[in-house]
Amino acid sequence: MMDLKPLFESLVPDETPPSRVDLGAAVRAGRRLRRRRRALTASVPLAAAAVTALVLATGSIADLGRRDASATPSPSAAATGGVRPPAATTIPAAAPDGLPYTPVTALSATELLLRAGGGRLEVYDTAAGRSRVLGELPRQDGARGHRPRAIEPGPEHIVWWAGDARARRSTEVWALPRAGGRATLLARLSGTAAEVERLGVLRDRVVWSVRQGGLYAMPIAGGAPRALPGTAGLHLVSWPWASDVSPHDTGRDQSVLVNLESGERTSLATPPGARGTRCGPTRCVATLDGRTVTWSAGGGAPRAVPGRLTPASRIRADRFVDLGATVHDLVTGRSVGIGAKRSPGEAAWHSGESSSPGLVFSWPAAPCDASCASGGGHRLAVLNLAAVQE
Amino acid sequence: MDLLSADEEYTAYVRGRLLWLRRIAYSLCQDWHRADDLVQTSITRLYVKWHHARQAADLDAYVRVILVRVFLKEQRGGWFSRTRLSPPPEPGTPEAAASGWDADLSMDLRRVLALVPPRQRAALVLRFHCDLSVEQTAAALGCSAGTVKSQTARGLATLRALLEVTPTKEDR
Repeated sequence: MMDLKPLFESLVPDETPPSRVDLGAAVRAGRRLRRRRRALTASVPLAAAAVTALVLATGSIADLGRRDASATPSPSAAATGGVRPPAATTIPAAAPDGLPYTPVTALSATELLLRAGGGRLEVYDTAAGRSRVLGELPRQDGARGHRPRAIEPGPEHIVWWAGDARARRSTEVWALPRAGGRATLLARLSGTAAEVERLGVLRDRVVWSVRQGGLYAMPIAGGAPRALPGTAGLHLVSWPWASDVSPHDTGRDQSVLVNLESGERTSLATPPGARGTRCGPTRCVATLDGRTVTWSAGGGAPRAVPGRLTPASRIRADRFVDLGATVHDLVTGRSVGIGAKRSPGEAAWHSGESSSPGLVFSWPAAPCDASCASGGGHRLAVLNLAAVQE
Repeated sequence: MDLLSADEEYTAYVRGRLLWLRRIAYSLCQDWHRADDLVQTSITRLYVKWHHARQAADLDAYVRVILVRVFLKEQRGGWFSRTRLSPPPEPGTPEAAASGWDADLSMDLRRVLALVPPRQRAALVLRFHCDLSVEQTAAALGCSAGTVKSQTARGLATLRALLEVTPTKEDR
């Protein structure tokens, strides 16, 4: 038995390294920010967010499967004209108007979905080297802390859910046409349905799982959110796949993989002693005797892979798994390093903002100076898993 | 003249509170380089808001809120996951013994605290390291007292699981 609270008293070591904080630089930067804010206040009128609430209806889980294929692009489907674009590339760190880019995920081998600042979605074409604006992410008037929690691309729409930190258990679901346009508020969720954990986008509807387990769905065109029968305890991984463990519950082993399109339910066997098992349709990963291992979801002996599973590790596109500062290809057995080195022992990177395990990693491109700390810098280095060759 | 005196005021205040700010920042991120980055961003924002901040009833609390929100904003949405490139030594090895791995719970706490989700981590640090009340923590995080309680409980549960210790009545 142990009280954890006293440990917090010794959280900071007595010996501290010399400070790198530059008070003069803060004053200079603060003056620049003040000038910029004054200029913006004078020239930009505040735009009021106009939203349309739709009343939605939904069908059964079987209907969902018949109508849609996975919205997530797969590396093998991403070829363009027989010539593969490079998986590793760089993009501008900010939009032409100065808003910093945050990569959301890869839409294809050459298209990256980006969030510009806090309120705009763009698609950046890495082959053409230019971006196009899809639309704005509306912010409710007066809602403090209101922000998109995750943004998921679908065949025809990009959908996100947003919540206000002060408005507990209230979650909004928004959709923006993938071709671009105006965002529409699909629903303002409350109760258990508002505890959105992950979300999938089909051609005509949105499906999501909640933290306690269980799935809900609603049509994009209109209709009420409805709980999907037979999905109790399931957690969406990436449409159409669902698991019996929450993505955040890394202590539990996944024992079931469900295909929500076909209804097929696969029981998974975990090697003795393995912990934190996670499986995609063809490969599983876990920690066994302190090492990361992988094995075929259909059975077979586990083999060790370099790197360690972390709480943030995900199987991506049923092929890749991120193990700290490396991404491992479970098909070829190769690994690639990611991230900007911040100090001899530490790297930093961004793993996207999509609901499904994302297909893009990014970090400030070298040369990387003090601006790395805030994600700044002139360009971002990007690893696009949708562009990885066979 | 007024601007200059405000600048002098700001400089004097920040100089006097720099060590305190660095320690809070370190408690949030467990890395001195990042802590300095957080403080640098926070004091820049403080400069921008200084005319308003200097009138605050509790300036330290005001600055602490800036710092915590800079930390949370940086963590938001997985922006910049971070990892140690050198894995920790395996338990039971001489290297582990030398580094105190599994032997020094304070070190362990720093290690596992980095694995706790950012809002829970902030709630734990503000409650137990900064010794703030539930209400003060709620004000700093911009949420309700109930949310602070639940975030704290979840954070402690995560810590217990990671440290593999049994909960006590006092932890709850």
